[in-house]
Amino acid sequence: MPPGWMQTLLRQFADEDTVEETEGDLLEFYRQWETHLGRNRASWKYFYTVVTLLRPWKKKRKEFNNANTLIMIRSYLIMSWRTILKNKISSIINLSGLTLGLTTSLLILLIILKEVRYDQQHLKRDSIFMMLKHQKTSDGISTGRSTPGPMAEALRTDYPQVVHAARVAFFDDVLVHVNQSKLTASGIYAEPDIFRMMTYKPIKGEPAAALEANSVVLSKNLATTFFGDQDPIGQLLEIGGGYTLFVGAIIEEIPSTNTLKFQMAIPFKAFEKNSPWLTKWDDNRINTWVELNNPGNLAEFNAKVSSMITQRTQDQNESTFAYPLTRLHLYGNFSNGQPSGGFITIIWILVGFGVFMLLIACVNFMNIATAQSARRAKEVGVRKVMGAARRWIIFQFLNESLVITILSLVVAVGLCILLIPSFNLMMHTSISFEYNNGVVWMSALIVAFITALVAGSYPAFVLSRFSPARVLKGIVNRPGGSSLRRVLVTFQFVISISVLIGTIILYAQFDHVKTRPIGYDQENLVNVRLDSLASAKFEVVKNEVLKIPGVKSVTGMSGSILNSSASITGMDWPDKKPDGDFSVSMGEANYDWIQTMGLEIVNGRDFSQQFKSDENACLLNEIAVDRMGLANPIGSVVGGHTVIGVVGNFVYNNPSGVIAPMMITLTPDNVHRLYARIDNNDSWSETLASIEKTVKKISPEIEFDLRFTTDEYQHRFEELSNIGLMVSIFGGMTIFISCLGLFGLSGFVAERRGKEMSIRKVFGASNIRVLLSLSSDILKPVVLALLIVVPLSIWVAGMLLNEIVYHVQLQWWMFVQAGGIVVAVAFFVVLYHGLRTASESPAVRLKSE
Amino acid sequence: MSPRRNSIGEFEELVLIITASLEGDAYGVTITNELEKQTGRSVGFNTVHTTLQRLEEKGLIRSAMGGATTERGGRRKRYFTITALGSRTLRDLKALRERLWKALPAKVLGITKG
Repeated sequence: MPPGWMQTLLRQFADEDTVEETEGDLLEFYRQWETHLGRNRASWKYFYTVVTLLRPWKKKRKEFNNANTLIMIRSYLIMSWRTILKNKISSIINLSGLTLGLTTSLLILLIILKEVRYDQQHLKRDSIFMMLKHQKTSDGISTGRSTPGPMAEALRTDYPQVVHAARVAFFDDVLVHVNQSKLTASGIYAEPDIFRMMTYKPIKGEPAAALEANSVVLSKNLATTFFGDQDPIGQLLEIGGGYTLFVGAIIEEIPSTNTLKFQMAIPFKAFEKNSPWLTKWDDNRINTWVELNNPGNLAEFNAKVSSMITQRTQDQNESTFAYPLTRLHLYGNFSNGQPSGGFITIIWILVGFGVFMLLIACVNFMNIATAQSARRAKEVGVRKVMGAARRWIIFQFLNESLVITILSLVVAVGLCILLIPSFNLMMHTSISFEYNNGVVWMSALIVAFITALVAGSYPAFVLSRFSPARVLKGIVNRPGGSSLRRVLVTFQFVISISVLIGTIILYAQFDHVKTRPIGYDQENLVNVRLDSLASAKFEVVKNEVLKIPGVKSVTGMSGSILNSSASITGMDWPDKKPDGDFSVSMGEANYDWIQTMGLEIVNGRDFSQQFKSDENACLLNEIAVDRMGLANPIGSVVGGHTVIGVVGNFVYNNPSGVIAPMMITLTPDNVHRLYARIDNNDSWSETLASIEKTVKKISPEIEFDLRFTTDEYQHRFEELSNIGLMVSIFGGMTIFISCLGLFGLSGFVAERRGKEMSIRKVFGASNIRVLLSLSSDILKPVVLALLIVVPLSIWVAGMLLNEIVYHVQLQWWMFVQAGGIVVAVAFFVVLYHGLRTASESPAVRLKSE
Repeated sequence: MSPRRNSIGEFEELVLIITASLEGDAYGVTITNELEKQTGRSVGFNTVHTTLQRLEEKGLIRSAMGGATTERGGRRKRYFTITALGSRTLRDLKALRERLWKALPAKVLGITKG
């Protein structure tokens, strides 16, 4: 016989129409040559002749022109559809798994598409920078965006690299009088250069010139809110009761994908008038933006500006640098002076999650396909006998997975559109499905296509390998890789159990924080926001409110007791160590503060009107005294104030965070909130009504806003419980999809061990015995996953919880609960195939041999 | 009958004649072997194969697959038979040659007429 590879060569590339007789003829020749010339020369001659007979292009051309191909493809589409309809349960499992995976991926895709567009609307984005500031403290370097007031001017005059520099300060809820009505608005105070740097599309007027001419820039929507259909240009706005400005320009609404977004821009000069601290180099409260003419030389520029603050103040711990606008959103976080990611971290986590969900769906698809392999093998056998080439069978299986994936994609797009509104609400995002964005559709299709390929590859390449003769005789070569599938199912459960344990711990932690002793009495404590008029007459307001029956005690604060955003570094206290600086939160309170709040006084006394000197006194919280190392706090001078009392630690800012050192100073008139403790009796609503009447009598124009402090405090947990809800949904999804995987695996095992079980039954095993034997086999991955997860999660959870200052202790019931839930759910999933196999008559299974 | 169909090369003519002469047993191997035997030349199978295809395209021969036998590993043979057009072409060629031979003066070839 001639060498096999030469025959293969001939078969592959010779003219398909004549290959059979050519091969036969050549075989005859070979035998002649072999007898006359010997084997070697015969082989050479054979090879030469084969080469002269190759017609590779002819073959290809023929295949492409073959009308059968089209008919085949159509037939496969119909076949795929019929297969989907025939195996309803497995189709539904596949469909739901893939839909879930694709929906998640689509949502993630939309988020990513939105995030990478952040700040991209600015034409000069590559040369715009924000000035940031490193500050050394005893806790490491902290990096902030607040800069001193004179910095912009210094940048403009002293640094030739700077093209434009602009200061920006934010304002919230300022009362604006428009014509006869009052509205609140938020926005920025800005210098005109900001509009020469950033690209905000003007609709009417020229924004930079408008600010220059001391008039206001409004966004389109806000202008409509203010003036309706009237032409807003030239209209008057009375802002904050202080000054009156014209509207000078209207810009398009700024998309949410902007670091600097606002609806209203007021000339910075208006802000400067009332803010004397803007001339100080050691007071950081505003943002500074710059445009550089040579952004490539950023390092050189930063080396020059780094010391611009320290040159002008005594503080050697600060250094300034410019940071690119295009990196602010995705890479804007700093940890100890080094960039430490930003939103990009979340993007990677999301991408990982999306890929993971799709992978699990693919694994499920493979599991189910192999579970059905015995039946499909016969189909493959018959197809092959009828003349289907292997590549056509591969194509058929890939086509099947593609059809089901495209179906899932359609469902997923629908689901996405339905889910986006509630998703946005829950996650505080503002994504939308952009129907006319080709990128969205293309990426969705590519993701779906890859998924289909991955999911379909296993059945396609394994099932198509069956040899028809063996399959049709009933001998099915069990495809290997069952251990791989077990590993994958184990992996699925590792993830879902981890998430479940995480959810349980998270909720335990929520409960723990909610019931944290807060250090004062929130019940029956109400607060009222005061406007400037009421604030100026606080003394009167306080006395009037105190006269109301049912009001026990009244005090005032400049902010809220729930948080304090102001903090000071570089404070002095007795025996302060040179490296012992830390930041101290600042609070301002009126008389009767401790009594009204129900705080605990540890040492000393509250502010008192009997002591005139109290105007320059302060209270410290316990932790401040501890960290300053004051042995005798009362009477010592801290930061220029004499300490008159030490107040017990109370919770503010982050409810689960550390209680930071705090100093409370006395303020007689800078009071923006009135706190009152009321009696909890039947007439409490009358008490509240009286408070409203009293306050309105003093300041008739006030927007009366009374809140229960405990409600405000509980409100902060809403965001947390949203996160909790998200994690629960995530957990539910992973468990659901893992159970689909387990269902597939159980089907596979039931199929594979079906005959064994039948034989056992013939020999007298009971149904229960068979069921147990099967389930224990199938549940092994779940148990294995539990064994892996529990120690791992104890370690990880312990580490994560240690990051939270006020955290719950890990307890055994958390893990037992998670394990119990998973094993129970898994057992129910397994029951379906287990019972079916167990109750099957052995005759059905065994008759085929 | 167009002249083009009629015109066949010398090698094609030889293959055509041998196909016709082998009657029922003309397939790739026998034709090649017969050709080598008659002409004494070494003839490549690929040449014969191509020529047979060309003759079939020209309609001078036709082919049919034979039954499967075990001798060639089950591969069937393609048997060629001459068509009516093929025989007429051969006859025409023969007539043409005879006419030409008759017109040929005997002394040119150094033989006497008779």
